[in-house]
Amino acid sequence: MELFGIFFAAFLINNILLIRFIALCSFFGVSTNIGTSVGMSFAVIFVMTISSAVSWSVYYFILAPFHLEFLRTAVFIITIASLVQLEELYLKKMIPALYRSMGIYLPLITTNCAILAVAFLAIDYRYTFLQAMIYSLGVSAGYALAMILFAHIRERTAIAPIPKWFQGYPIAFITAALMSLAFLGFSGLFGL
Amino acid sequence: MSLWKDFNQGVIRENPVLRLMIGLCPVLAVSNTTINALGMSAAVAFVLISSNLVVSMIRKMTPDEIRIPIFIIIISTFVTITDYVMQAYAPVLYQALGVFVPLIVVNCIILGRAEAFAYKNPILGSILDGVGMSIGFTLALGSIGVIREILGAGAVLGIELFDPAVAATIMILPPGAFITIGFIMAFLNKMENKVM
Amino acid sequence: MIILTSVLVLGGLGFIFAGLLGYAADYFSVEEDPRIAMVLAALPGGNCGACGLAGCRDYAEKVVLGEAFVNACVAGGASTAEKVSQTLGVECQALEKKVAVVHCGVRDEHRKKKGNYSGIKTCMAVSLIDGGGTACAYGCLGYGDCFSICPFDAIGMKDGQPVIDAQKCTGCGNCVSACPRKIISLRPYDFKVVVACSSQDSGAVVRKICPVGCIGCKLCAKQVPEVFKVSNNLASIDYTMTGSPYESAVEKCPTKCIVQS
Repeated sequence: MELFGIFFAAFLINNILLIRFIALCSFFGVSTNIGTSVGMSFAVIFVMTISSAVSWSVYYFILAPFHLEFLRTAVFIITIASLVQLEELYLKKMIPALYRSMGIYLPLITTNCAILAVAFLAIDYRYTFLQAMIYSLGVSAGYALAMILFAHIRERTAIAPIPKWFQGYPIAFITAALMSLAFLGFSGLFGL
Repeated sequence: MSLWKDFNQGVIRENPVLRLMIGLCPVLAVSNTTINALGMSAAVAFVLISSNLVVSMIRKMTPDEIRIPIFIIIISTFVTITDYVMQAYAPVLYQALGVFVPLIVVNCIILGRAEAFAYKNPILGSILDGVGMSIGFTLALGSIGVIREILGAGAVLGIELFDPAVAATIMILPPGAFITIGFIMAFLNKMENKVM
Repeated sequence: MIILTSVLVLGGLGFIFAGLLGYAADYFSVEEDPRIAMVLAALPGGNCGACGLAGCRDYAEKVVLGEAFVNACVAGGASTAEKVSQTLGVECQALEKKVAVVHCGVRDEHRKKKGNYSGIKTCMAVSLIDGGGTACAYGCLGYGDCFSICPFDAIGMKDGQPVIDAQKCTGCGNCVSACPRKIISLRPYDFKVVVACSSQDSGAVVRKICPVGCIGCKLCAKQVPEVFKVSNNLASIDYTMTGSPYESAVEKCPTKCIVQS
């Protein structure tokens, strides 16, 4: 039950994009097209789950025993960057079809705030390994949900008669505001 | 005069937040009060200027293929310093900023400026670019913070201006951030007479 | 002491990751036929799909495997076909260059509409409502779906009329499929004339609704019968009759709907 709570809170109630404001650069950059949004979302799910597993392990098995917790910023970012590179090489060779559909987003994800944020938050919330994995699944699912919904709306606003000065990014931000308002309505759901 | 240009292009013309659209994550999250906004701007300014300085100093001896990991390590060092200094000397601010302090390391502004400018330019120009970009960032973040705090809590820097009960609480919640920045961008579009 | 440990741990982690990455780069390296990159460089890169495959990369891979024709790239034309066949060391057949033409000459000032439209401003969306709401049921709607879809920037919109730049046009055919009224077609590059009308309405009706429409008077067919044919109140050009002199028909046309481009 508690795991369900962690997943659901990360997925809807504390949605990483719309409530916590993390990973916004990619949110506004990639979401102009539904196809690229889907590709990016899958890449994020893939990278985030693996990265949080490895970062969690590195923190508790290497940094903590040597009392080097202060190195976590540098260590996490190096871990994530190396992992992304490894994943890209692996996909390119082993699953070329998957690489063609989402491989181009992998380098973009290296500086994606969400991956690093999840690594930090899993430590701050003192999650066990399983809880950290469920948490990162919830966060990446929430990312995918917000991103794909937003892409659908943006494709429509692109051809709608928007007032001249609001075309482009301003109306995108206001759309995000309305989505965020909707997601705020989830707070308190299931008593979470 | 090129040094002056290095400095002031980051303030308005190539304002990182409002024109280049990078480094958005902290802008929306910490602008709910002016004090948080200014605190974050100070942290980013410190990291940006220091990393620009160091990257520019070692630019002649960095191999091209591994420059990104090297930039990241330099930036993460300064972020760690900022993180612990803030924890020690401004714990309330640190609590308010939360996870966004360590997230400065992936803030696109810092990595972007290191890659685009500090790697290719001498020390003085890089420092001035860092200062200019920081001022631009502070202006953007500060103005959003002021607007949100006034409309959402009826106060500025903690000083109450009018009864908070009539203020629009939505402004200090997430949607308010998006709305504020949307309107500011529309206003800037009109001022510059072109659409981004 | 702690300085030493942190240097060792950070350095150690760095070494481990560097080693892993170095090994992985080798173990997971993908061998690719170098000819694919050479073919890709010769292609225009617009990913227009005119070859029938999923973009330039897909075509490059298939043509190296021998699964696509060397002259299938319509957008690149003869020069690309030549470079591709050179790269692969095969014979090349010539491909005729075609460009797009719009069979309608109406501009915003002439376009008679049946009402005000305030919906999504694309030709496809308008055409779904009562056929488009224009007095002429066959003509150009003017919202520029062809302009938006052209991958080579060869179409511009002037006063609600598409203007096609024959130099930039590669004949990929995306505009032909994008037009909901199906009034764009491809003509041979050298045959520089088009009947800029698609209306099958009788001459009397056309005279009322459009000043530049074809009224089916057959004057062009009388002048140059091999090239111009009139049926259903509409003139059309037989583009296989290259070399025939058509200028006299252009002069005689009373509504000036035959346009030289």
